[in-house]
Amino acid sequence: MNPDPALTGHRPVRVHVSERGNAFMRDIAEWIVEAAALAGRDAVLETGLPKADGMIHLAVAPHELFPLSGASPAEVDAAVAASVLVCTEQPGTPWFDTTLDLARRAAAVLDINVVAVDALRAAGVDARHLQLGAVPSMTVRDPADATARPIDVLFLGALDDRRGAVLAQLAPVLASRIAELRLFRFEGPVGAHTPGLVFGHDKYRLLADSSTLLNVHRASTGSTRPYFEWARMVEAMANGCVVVTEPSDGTAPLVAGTHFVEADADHLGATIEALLDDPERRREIAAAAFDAVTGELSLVTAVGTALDRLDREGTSGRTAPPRRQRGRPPTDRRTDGRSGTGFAAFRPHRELQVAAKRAAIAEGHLLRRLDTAACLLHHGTEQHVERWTTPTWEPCTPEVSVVVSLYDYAAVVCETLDSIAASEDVAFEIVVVEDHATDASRDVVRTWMDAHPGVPVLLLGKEVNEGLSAARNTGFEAARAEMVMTIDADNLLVPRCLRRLADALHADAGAGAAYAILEDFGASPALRSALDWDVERLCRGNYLDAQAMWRRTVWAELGGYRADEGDVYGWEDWDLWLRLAAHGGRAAIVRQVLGRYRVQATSMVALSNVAQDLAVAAIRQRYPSLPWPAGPT
Amino acid sequence: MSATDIDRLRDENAELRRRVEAAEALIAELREEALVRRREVRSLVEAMPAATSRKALLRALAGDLRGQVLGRLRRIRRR
Repeated sequence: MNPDPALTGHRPVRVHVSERGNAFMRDIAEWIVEAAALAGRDAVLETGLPKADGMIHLAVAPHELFPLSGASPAEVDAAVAASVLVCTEQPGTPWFDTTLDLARRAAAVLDINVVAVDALRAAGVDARHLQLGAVPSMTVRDPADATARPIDVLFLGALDDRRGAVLAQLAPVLASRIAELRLFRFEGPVGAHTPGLVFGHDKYRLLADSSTLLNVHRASTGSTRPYFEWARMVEAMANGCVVVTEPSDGTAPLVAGTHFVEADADHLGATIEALLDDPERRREIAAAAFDAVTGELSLVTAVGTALDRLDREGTSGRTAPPRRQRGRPPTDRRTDGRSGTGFAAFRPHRELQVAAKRAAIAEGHLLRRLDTAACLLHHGTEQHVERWTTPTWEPCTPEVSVVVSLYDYAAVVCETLDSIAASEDVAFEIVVVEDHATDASRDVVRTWMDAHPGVPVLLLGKEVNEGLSAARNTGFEAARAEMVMTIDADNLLVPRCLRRLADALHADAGAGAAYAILEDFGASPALRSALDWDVERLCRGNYLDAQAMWRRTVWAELGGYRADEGDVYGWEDWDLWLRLAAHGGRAAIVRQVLGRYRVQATSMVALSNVAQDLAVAAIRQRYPSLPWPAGPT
Repeated sequence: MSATDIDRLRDENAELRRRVEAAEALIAELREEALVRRREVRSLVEAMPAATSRKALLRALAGDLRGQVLGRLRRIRRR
């Protein structure tokens, strides 16, 4: 029962959050409602705009609430003036700029991070700090519960270039432990519909199942101070999950080394390793952090104090003279999906590029015809495939076949084979398809096979180069296992990759394929194949590498890779993923770094990227039923 | 089969083998040339500027125009 304002002297509290915004903001709003109620307030969650009616209206994540309301500028002005903003955004981001504009016109301003409070005050806004802490509903696991946590390292957050690079650097540690990387991209509001993301109770459960939560800063935005993601950190601490973070400002009253662990990017890996190997230290830090966020920092206390102050001081005054931004109303790039100037890029020499790309592809065709002529002379057939096997290949009954497509990778293919041979807890065979390379690829593999008779390997050497797609298809046809992993001859697997992906397919009968996160190496570190299966995202562009494990039956039903040599050249992987989606299928993600992708200065990718709009248009026509983004076809 | 027929067939076989080897050598040569040309065409395709912003384009145009005008002025002054 809500407390009677007439008896308590407290004004009722309405906590507003956008129903169209990011779902983690709703989590924060719900914590505030819970904390206010426990502080003896009449508190209710609302999704509409605040109004001047004598109640206290807390507007959580105002950069979403107001721009996404659809209200007129006058209605927004009135609502902002009646609101106490609860700001959540990091200075230096466009969302903070939107927040600042609104804060100048609000009745009062609170922010959950002292770094942002400082930035707001520096801009002339009388902002106050709302110290985030735990509420009882956050904790889903008794911190004294000593049962094992299945996840060693958890990361929850938006993926950007910096985070991708830091996580890629950590790949060796992440690959040797049970890691769970829950990554997403800010291209629209995230919520329960966003593949891979969890909120509310499901998120607390995930944190309760994790030993450590990793915090890596976003890409630097100018003068921004390193930011402590308080909301996520509190949720972790409330569930006994130890926070490991890059050095951050505004962590007080929490203390590094006591309530969380701090290390710069270069030392994060070693720090995580040391922490995971020291359960006693983990228990101590988890206990201290839990006590802090549920005791001294309890959100009930902070919200109660803030509301008492708002009761005393009222919420009718402005925090600073209004200084509204000119131009279009503030928007949130995370929520409206727009970016840039709105002009398409200027493409000079486009026709020339298209013609040159077709000439390059025609050169490939000519080469193939020459190979065919030579093959006819030699063998009397248009294609001839030579076979070599190791002694263990014939008797082997593999659970997984690994198809390695090989063309001109003599210098690195042994590294790839070594990485596959190191696979653990799985019966596998390797099928190498050598696509009539111009270097010594074939001889190098034969030498490797001679040196590794205990590894079941089938080498297929083609006399006519047919291209990557045809090589993969040849490998699938020769594979004897139901589960087939594809890998190019310059990439690597980590020892647990095959086991984990096979387990994912065993566990998910509806998945036609399974893939894991890959670490880029050889150039700037980054991650790829890092996001969950999402058909809408797939239609916006290929975010999945070909390095994946397929059910051979699904591959066969789909017709295998298309050996396109026209405008779709180089997009055959994407074409197969889209075909899977168009047939109602899907792929399962294993959110761990289980492979390494060699980034090279020159590759076929560069040619396939030329005039890619033609490739996209051609592929769109093939799969009209998919949810393509609006635009030219 | 007579010894003459066998000799004839042997000669024919040798001639066919010679032709096949000549064809194979020519194909190998053409293959090498085609590989070189394919590499060249690919590098040309990849070296072309794919896209540029209008701002960069206008800046380049303005820079070029400024150079032209200054050059003209210098020539006028020299006269």
